[in-house]
Amino acid sequence: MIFANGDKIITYQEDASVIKNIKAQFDKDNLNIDNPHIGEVVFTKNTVSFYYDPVEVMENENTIEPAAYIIALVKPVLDSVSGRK
Amino acid sequence: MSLIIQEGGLLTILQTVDKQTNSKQKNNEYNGAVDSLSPMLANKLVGNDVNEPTLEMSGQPAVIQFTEPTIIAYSGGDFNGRVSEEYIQPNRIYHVDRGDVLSFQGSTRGSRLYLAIAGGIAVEKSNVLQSGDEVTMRRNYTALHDEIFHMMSNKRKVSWGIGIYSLVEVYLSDIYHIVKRPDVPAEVYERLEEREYTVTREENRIQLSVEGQEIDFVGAACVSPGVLGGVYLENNLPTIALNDFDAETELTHIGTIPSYHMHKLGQKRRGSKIKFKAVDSDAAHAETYGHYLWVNSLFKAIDYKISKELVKEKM
Repeated sequence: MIFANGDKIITYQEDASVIKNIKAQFDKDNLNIDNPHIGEVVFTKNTVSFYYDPVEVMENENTIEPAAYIIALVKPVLDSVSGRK
Repeated sequence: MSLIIQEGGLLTILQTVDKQTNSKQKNNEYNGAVDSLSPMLANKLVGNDVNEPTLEMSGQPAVIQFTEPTIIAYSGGDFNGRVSEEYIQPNRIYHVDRGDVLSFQGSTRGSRLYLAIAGGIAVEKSNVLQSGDEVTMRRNYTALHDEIFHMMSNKRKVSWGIGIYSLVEVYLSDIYHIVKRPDVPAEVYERLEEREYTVTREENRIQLSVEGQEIDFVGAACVSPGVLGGVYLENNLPTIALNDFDAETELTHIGTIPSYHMHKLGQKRRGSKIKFKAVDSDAAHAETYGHYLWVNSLFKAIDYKISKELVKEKM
Protein backbone atom coordinates (compact mmCIF):
# COMPACT_ATOMS: atom_id res chain seq x y z
CA MET A 1 0.00 0.00 0.00
CA ILE A 2 1.28 3.46 -0.87
CA PHE A 3 -0.28 6.62 0.53
CA ALA A 4 0.19 10.34 1.20
CA ASN A 5 1.36 10.58 4.80
CA GLY A 6 0.33 14.19 5.44
CA ASP A 7 1.33 16.80 2.86
CA LYS A 8 5.09 16.19 2.71
CA ILE A 9 5.65 12.43 2.82
CA ILE A 10 4.74 9.44 0.67
CA THR A 11 4.83 6.16 2.61
CA TYR A 12 4.95 2.65 1.18
CA GLN A 13 3.83 -0.01 3.68
CA GLU A 14 4.47 -3.71 3.19
CA ASP A 15 5.58 -6.92 4.92
CA ALA A 16 8.94 -6.73 6.63
CA SER A 17 10.53 -9.10 4.07
CA VAL A 18 9.50 -6.83 1.18
CA ILE A 19 10.84 -3.72 2.90
CA LYS A 20 14.06 -5.59 3.66
CA ASN A 21 14.56 -6.21 -0.08
CA ILE A 22 13.79 -2.61 -0.89
CA LYS A 23 16.27 -1.44 1.75
CA ALA A 24 18.98 -3.70 0.32
CA GLN A 25 18.35 -2.29 -3.14
CA PHE A 26 18.29 1.25 -1.76
CA ASP A 27 21.67 0.72 -0.07
CA LYS A 28 23.03 -0.61 -3.34
CA ASP A 29 21.85 1.95 -5.89
CA ASN A 30 19.39 4.34 -4.18
CA LEU A 31 16.62 2.42 -6.01
CA ASN A 32 17.76 4.27 -9.12
CA ILE A 33 15.42 7.08 -8.20
CA ASP A 34 17.18 10.23 -9.25
CA ASN A 35 14.74 13.06 -8.79
CA PRO A 36 15.53 16.47 -7.26
CA HIS A 37 12.17 16.63 -5.49
CA ILE A 38 12.77 13.57 -3.32
CA GLY A 39 14.65 14.39 -0.14
CA GLU A 40 15.16 12.13 2.83
CA VAL A 41 14.21 8.44 2.50
CA VAL A 42 13.35 6.82 5.83
CA PHE A 43 12.88 3.11 6.53
CA THR A 44 11.15 1.23 9.33
CA LYS A 45 10.62 -2.52 9.51
CA ASN A 46 7.38 -2.21 7.52
CA THR A 47 7.63 1.09 5.67
CA VAL A 48 9.70 3.28 3.44
CA SER A 49 8.89 6.99 3.41
CA PHE A 50 9.89 9.59 0.84
CA TYR A 51 10.03 13.23 1.95
CA TYR A 52 9.30 15.97 -0.58
CA ASP A 53 8.41 19.64 -0.72
CA PRO A 54 4.89 19.84 -2.22
CA VAL A 55 5.18 23.52 -3.15
CA GLU A 56 8.39 22.87 -5.04
CA VAL A 57 6.75 20.00 -6.94
CA MET A 58 3.63 22.05 -7.69
CA GLU A 59 5.61 24.99 -9.05
CA ASN A 60 8.32 23.11 -10.93
CA GLU A 61 6.20 20.30 -12.33
CA ASN A 62 3.14 22.40 -13.01
CA THR A 63 0.80 20.10 -11.12
CA ILE A 64 -1.84 20.54 -8.43
CA GLU A 65 -1.38 16.93 -7.33
CA PRO A 66 2.17 16.67 -6.00
CA ALA A 67 1.43 13.43 -4.11
CA ALA A 68 0.31 11.75 -7.33
CA TYR A 69 3.50 13.01 -9.02
CA ILE A 70 5.78 11.44 -6.36
CA ILE A 71 3.74 8.23 -6.23
CA ALA A 72 3.97 7.87 -10.02
CA LEU A 73 7.73 8.20 -9.65
CA VAL A 74 8.41 5.76 -6.82
CA LYS A 75 5.63 3.16 -7.05
CA PRO A 76 6.85 1.37 -10.22
CA VAL A 77 10.34 1.08 -8.72
CA LEU A 78 9.04 -0.23 -5.39
CA ASP A 79 6.67 -2.66 -7.10
CA SER A 80 9.44 -3.94 -9.29
CA VAL A 81 11.80 -4.54 -6.35
CA SER A 82 9.03 -6.17 -4.34
CA GLY A 83 7.97 -8.35 -7.29
CA ARG A 84 4.46 -6.90 -7.38
CA LYS A 85 4.43 -5.34 -10.81
CA MET B 1 29.92 36.14 24.82
CA SER B 2 26.81 38.05 23.85
CA LEU B 3 23.78 36.72 25.72
CA ILE B 4 23.75 35.22 29.19
CA ILE B 5 20.89 32.96 30.22
CA GLN B 6 20.19 34.24 33.73
CA GLU B 7 17.27 31.86 34.27
CA GLY B 8 16.78 28.89 31.97
CA GLY B 9 12.98 28.82 32.10
CA LEU B 10 11.09 25.58 31.51
CA LEU B 11 12.72 24.60 28.21
CA THR B 12 14.92 27.02 26.29
CA ILE B 13 16.59 25.61 23.23
CA LEU B 14 18.50 26.96 20.24
CA GLN B 15 16.50 25.53 17.39
CA THR B 16 16.49 25.57 13.61
CA VAL B 17 13.28 26.37 11.71
CA ASP B 18 13.16 22.99 9.95
CA LYS B 19 14.70 19.65 10.85
CA GLN B 20 18.43 19.47 10.10
CA THR B 21 19.68 16.00 9.35
CA ASN B 22 23.30 16.98 8.77
CA SER B 23 24.07 18.93 11.92
CA LYS B 24 27.79 19.28 12.52
CA GLN B 25 27.29 19.59 16.26
CA LYS B 26 27.33 16.18 17.89
CA ASN B 27 24.73 15.37 20.55
CA ASN B 28 22.61 18.36 19.60
CA GLU B 29 19.28 17.58 18.00
CA TYR B 30 17.95 20.10 15.54
CA ASN B 31 14.53 18.65 14.82
CA GLY B 32 13.02 22.00 13.90
CA ALA B 33 10.81 24.54 15.64
CA VAL B 34 7.50 23.19 16.92
CA ASP B 35 5.80 26.32 15.54
CA SER B 36 7.95 26.94 12.47
CA LEU B 37 6.16 30.09 11.30
CA SER B 38 7.00 32.16 14.40
CA PRO B 39 10.81 31.94 14.15
CA MET B 40 10.56 32.92 10.48
CA LEU B 41 8.52 36.01 11.39
CA ALA B 42 10.93 37.00 14.17
CA ASN B 43 13.91 36.54 11.84
CA LYS B 44 12.24 38.56 9.11
CA LEU B 45 11.65 41.46 11.51
CA VAL B 46 15.33 41.70 12.51
CA GLY B 47 16.59 41.39 8.92
CA ASN B 48 17.86 37.79 9.20
CA ASP B 49 17.44 34.98 6.72
CA VAL B 50 14.09 33.48 7.75
CA ASN B 51 15.72 30.10 8.42
CA GLU B 52 18.26 31.41 10.92
CA PRO B 53 18.15 29.44 14.24
CA THR B 54 16.29 31.19 17.07
CA LEU B 55 15.76 30.58 20.78
CA GLU B 56 12.63 28.48 21.31
CA MET B 57 11.20 28.96 24.81
CA SER B 58 8.35 26.79 26.03
CA GLY B 59 6.02 27.37 28.97
CA GLN B 60 7.98 29.67 31.26
CA PRO B 61 10.47 31.62 29.08
CA ALA B 62 14.06 32.34 30.08
CA VAL B 63 15.51 35.55 31.53
CA ILE B 64 18.29 36.78 29.26
CA GLN B 65 20.96 39.44 29.70
CA PHE B 66 22.63 41.13 26.72
CA THR B 67 26.31 41.98 26.91
CA GLU B 68 26.31 44.13 23.77
CA PRO B 69 23.73 46.21 21.88
CA THR B 70 21.64 44.45 19.27
CA ILE B 71 18.26 44.27 17.56
CA ILE B 72 15.72 41.68 18.68
CA ALA B 73 12.19 40.51 17.89
CA TYR B 74 10.13 37.65 19.26
CA SER B 75 7.08 35.89 17.91
CA GLY B 76 4.77 33.04 18.84
CA GLY B 77 2.58 32.92 21.96
CA ASP B 78 1.14 36.14 23.33
CA PHE B 79 3.83 36.69 25.97
CA ASN B 80 4.35 40.23 27.19
CA GLY B 81 8.02 40.89 27.69
CA ARG B 82 10.13 43.42 29.52
CA VAL B 83 13.53 44.84 28.66
CA SER B 84 14.83 46.18 31.93
CA GLU B 85 11.97 48.55 32.92
CA GLU B 86 10.20 48.81 29.57
CA TYR B 87 7.35 46.55 28.41
CA ILE B 88 7.68 44.99 24.99
CA GLN B 89 5.34 42.98 22.75
CA PRO B 90 5.62 40.11 20.29
CA ASN B 91 6.10 40.73 16.55
CA ARG B 92 7.87 44.07 16.93
CA ILE B 93 11.45 45.27 16.47
CA TYR B 94 13.40 46.39 19.56
CA HIS B 95 16.83 47.76 20.19
CA VAL B 96 18.51 46.45 23.35
CA ASP B 97 21.64 47.81 25.00
CA ARG B 98 24.55 46.27 26.78
CA GLY B 99 23.41 45.18 30.24
CA ASP B 100 19.69 45.05 29.38
CA VAL B 101 17.76 42.12 30.82
CA LEU B 102 14.93 40.54 28.84
CA SER B 103 12.19 38.73 30.76
CA PHE B 104 8.66 37.58 30.04
CA GLN B 105 5.35 37.31 31.84
CA GLY B 106 2.87 34.48 31.32
CA SER B 107 1.10 34.13 28.03
CA THR B 108 -2.58 34.81 27.40
CA ARG B 109 -2.47 32.70 24.23
CA GLY B 110 0.04 30.12 23.08
CA SER B 111 2.72 28.16 24.86
CA ARG B 112 6.04 29.05 23.24
CA LEU B 113 7.91 31.98 21.82
CA TYR B 114 10.84 32.39 19.44
CA LEU B 115 13.51 35.05 19.97
CA ALA B 116 15.54 36.20 16.97
CA ILE B 117 18.73 38.24 17.25
CA ALA B 118 19.99 40.32 14.32
CA GLY B 119 22.95 38.60 12.68
CA GLY B 120 22.13 35.21 14.20
CA ILE B 121 23.21 33.26 17.28
CA ALA B 122 25.07 30.04 18.04
CA VAL B 123 26.01 27.87 21.00
CA GLU B 124 29.30 26.11 21.61
CA LYS B 125 27.97 23.26 23.75
CA SER B 126 24.44 21.92 24.24
CA ASN B 127 21.60 23.63 22.40
CA VAL B 128 19.39 23.04 25.45
CA LEU B 129 20.14 26.13 27.52
CA GLN B 130 20.25 26.39 31.28
CA SER B 131 20.88 29.12 33.81
CA GLY B 132 24.39 30.48 33.39
CA ASP B 133 24.83 29.34 29.78
CA GLU B 134 26.15 31.71 27.16
CA VAL B 135 24.91 32.24 23.63
CA THR B 136 27.22 33.77 21.04
CA MET B 137 26.11 36.37 18.52
CA ARG B 138 27.25 35.29 15.07
CA ARG B 139 27.24 38.93 13.86
CA ASN B 140 26.58 37.76 10.34
CA TYR B 141 25.47 41.24 9.40
CA THR B 142 24.20 42.25 5.97
CA ALA B 143 23.62 45.69 4.46
CA LEU B 144 20.01 45.41 5.66
CA HIS B 145 21.19 44.79 9.22
CA ASP B 146 23.42 47.87 9.00
CA GLU B 147 20.45 49.94 7.92
CA ILE B 148 18.20 48.52 10.65
CA PHE B 149 20.91 49.21 13.26
CA HIS B 150 21.21 52.77 11.96
CA MET B 151 17.43 53.18 11.95
CA MET B 152 17.21 51.96 15.57
CA SER B 153 20.26 53.88 16.83
CA ASN B 154 18.20 56.61 18.48
CA LYS B 155 15.14 54.65 19.50
CA ARG B 156 14.13 51.57 21.45
CA LYS B 157 11.39 50.40 19.08
CA VAL B 158 9.51 51.11 15.89
CA SER B 159 5.88 52.16 16.01
CA TRP B 160 4.54 49.20 14.05
CA GLY B 161 4.54 45.43 14.26
CA ILE B 162 2.64 42.44 12.90
CA GLY B 163 -0.89 42.83 14.30
CA ILE B 164 -2.67 39.86 15.80
CA TYR B 165 -5.39 40.33 13.16
CA SER B 166 -2.80 39.39 10.50
CA LEU B 167 -2.20 36.05 12.17
CA VAL B 168 -5.74 35.15 13.23
CA GLU B 169 -6.30 32.84 10.29
CA VAL B 170 -3.26 30.76 11.16
CA TYR B 171 -3.41 30.63 14.93
CA LEU B 172 -6.90 31.07 16.28
CA SER B 173 -8.94 28.24 14.78
CA ASP B 174 -9.25 24.97 16.70
CA ILE B 175 -9.87 22.92 13.56
CA TYR B 176 -7.07 20.61 12.41
CA HIS B 177 -6.97 18.82 9.11
CA ILE B 178 -5.86 15.21 9.18
CA VAL B 179 -4.84 13.60 5.89
CA LYS B 180 -6.63 10.25 5.65
CA ARG B 181 -5.00 6.88 5.11
CA PRO B 182 -6.56 4.51 2.56
CA ASP B 183 -6.61 1.56 5.00
CA VAL B 184 -8.45 3.33 7.82
CA PRO B 185 -12.26 2.90 7.69
CA ALA B 186 -14.43 5.99 7.13
CA GLU B 187 -16.16 5.35 10.48
CA VAL B 188 -12.90 6.10 12.29
CA TYR B 189 -12.76 9.57 10.72
CA GLU B 190 -16.48 10.13 11.34
CA ARG B 191 -15.97 9.37 15.01
CA LEU B 192 -12.84 11.51 15.14
CA GLU B 193 -14.73 14.47 13.69
CA GLU B 194 -17.78 14.07 15.93
CA ARG B 195 -16.57 15.91 19.01
CA GLU B 196 -13.87 18.22 20.30
CA TYR B 197 -10.79 16.91 22.02
CA THR B 198 -9.03 18.66 24.89
CA VAL B 199 -5.25 18.77 25.25
CA THR B 200 -4.31 17.07 28.52
CA ARG B 201 -0.56 17.44 28.29
CA GLU B 202 2.45 17.99 26.08
CA GLU B 203 5.54 15.92 26.58
CA ASN B 204 8.10 18.58 25.75
CA ARG B 205 8.44 18.73 21.96
CA ILE B 206 7.59 15.00 21.76
CA GLN B 207 3.84 14.54 21.67
CA LEU B 208 0.48 16.08 22.54
CA SER B 209 -2.00 13.93 24.40
CA VAL B 210 -5.73 14.64 24.30
CA GLU B 211 -8.91 13.43 25.95
CA GLY B 212 -12.33 13.04 24.36
CA GLN B 213 -14.14 10.64 22.07
CA GLU B 214 -12.45 7.23 22.10
CA ILE B 215 -11.62 5.56 18.78
CA ASP B 216 -12.02 1.81 18.87
CA PHE B 217 -9.72 0.80 16.05
CA VAL B 218 -6.61 -1.31 15.78
CA GLY B 219 -4.66 -1.19 12.53
CA ALA B 220 -2.58 -4.01 11.05
CA ALA B 221 0.53 -4.85 13.07
CA CYS B 222 3.11 -2.47 11.64
CA VAL B 223 6.13 -0.43 12.63
CA SER B 224 5.17 3.02 11.33
CA PRO B 225 7.48 5.98 10.92
CA GLY B 226 7.14 8.63 13.61
CA VAL B 227 6.31 11.65 11.48
CA LEU B 228 5.76 15.24 12.49
CA GLY B 229 2.01 15.74 12.81
CA GLY B 230 1.33 12.01 12.79
CA VAL B 231 -1.86 11.07 14.66
CA TYR B 232 -1.50 7.74 16.48
CA LEU B 233 -3.89 5.89 18.75
CA GLU B 234 -2.70 5.30 22.28
CA ASN B 235 -5.24 3.73 24.65
CA ASN B 236 -7.92 4.48 22.02
CA LEU B 237 -7.19 8.21 22.08
CA PRO B 238 -5.31 10.31 19.52
CA THR B 239 -1.73 11.23 20.30
CA ILE B 240 -0.12 13.80 18.02
CA ALA B 241 3.59 13.58 17.19
CA LEU B 242 5.69 16.72 17.59
CA ASN B 243 9.24 17.31 16.39
CA ASP B 244 11.09 15.07 18.87
CA PHE B 245 8.72 12.08 18.55
CA ASP B 246 10.28 8.62 18.20
CA ALA B 247 11.63 7.80 14.72
CA GLU B 248 9.32 4.77 14.63
CA THR B 249 6.34 3.47 16.57
CA GLU B 250 4.08 0.45 16.85
CA LEU B 251 1.08 2.62 17.72
CA THR B 252 -1.72 2.57 15.14
CA HIS B 253 -1.31 5.48 12.74
CA ILE B 254 -4.61 6.95 11.51
CA GLY B 255 -3.44 9.99 9.56
CA THR B 256 -1.18 13.02 9.60
CA ILE B 257 -1.84 16.70 10.26
CA PRO B 258 -0.50 18.77 7.31
CA SER B 259 2.34 21.26 7.81
CA TYR B 260 0.11 24.35 7.52
CA HIS B 261 -1.74 23.41 10.72
CA MET B 262 1.36 22.52 12.73
CA HIS B 263 2.12 26.15 13.69
CA LYS B 264 -1.01 26.51 15.75
CA LEU B 265 -0.64 23.00 17.13
CA GLY B 266 2.77 24.05 18.45
CA GLN B 267 1.06 26.76 20.48
CA LYS B 268 -1.56 24.51 22.10
CA ARG B 269 -1.39 24.07 25.83
CA ARG B 270 -3.20 22.09 28.48
CA GLY B 271 -6.95 22.70 28.20
CA SER B 272 -6.80 23.87 24.57
CA LYS B 273 -9.42 22.44 22.21
CA ILE B 274 -8.77 20.43 19.06
CA LYS B 275 -11.33 19.49 16.44
CA PHE B 276 -10.28 17.21 13.59
CA LYS B 277 -11.42 17.42 9.99
CA ALA B 278 -10.41 14.52 7.74
CA VAL B 279 -9.22 15.54 4.26
CA ASP B 280 -7.53 13.83 1.34
CA SER B 281 -4.06 14.79 0.17
CA ASP B 282 -5.27 16.88 -2.78
CA ALA B 283 -7.36 19.10 -0.50
CA ALA B 284 -4.40 19.37 1.88
CA HIS B 285 -2.07 20.38 -0.94
CA ALA B 286 -4.45 23.12 -2.10
CA GLU B 287 -4.29 24.49 1.48
CA THR B 288 -0.51 24.04 1.62
CA TYR B 289 -0.11 26.18 -1.47
CA GLY B 290 -2.53 28.83 -0.19
CA HIS B 291 -0.60 28.95 3.08
CA TYR B 292 2.71 29.31 1.21
CA LEU B 293 1.32 32.30 -0.74
CA TRP B 294 -0.02 33.86 2.45
CA VAL B 295 3.33 33.53 4.25
CA ASN B 296 5.11 35.13 1.29
CA SER B 297 2.68 38.03 1.24
CA LEU B 298 3.26 38.55 4.96
CA PHE B 299 7.03 38.58 4.41
CA LYS B 300 6.59 41.13 1.62
CA ALA B 301 4.50 43.30 3.91
CA ILE B 302 7.31 43.21 6.52
CA ASP B 303 9.89 44.11 3.84
CA TYR B 304 7.71 47.02 2.78
CA LYS B 305 7.26 48.29 6.37
CA ILE B 306 11.00 48.11 7.04
CA SER B 307 11.90 49.88 3.79
CA LYS B 308 9.31 52.58 4.53
CA GLU B 309 10.81 53.05 7.98
CA LEU B 310 14.31 53.28 6.48
CA VAL B 311 13.17 55.93 3.98
CA LYS B 312 11.49 57.90 6.80
CA GLU B 313 14.72 57.76 8.77
CA LYS B 314 16.77 59.11 5.88
CA MET B 315 14.48 62.10 5.24
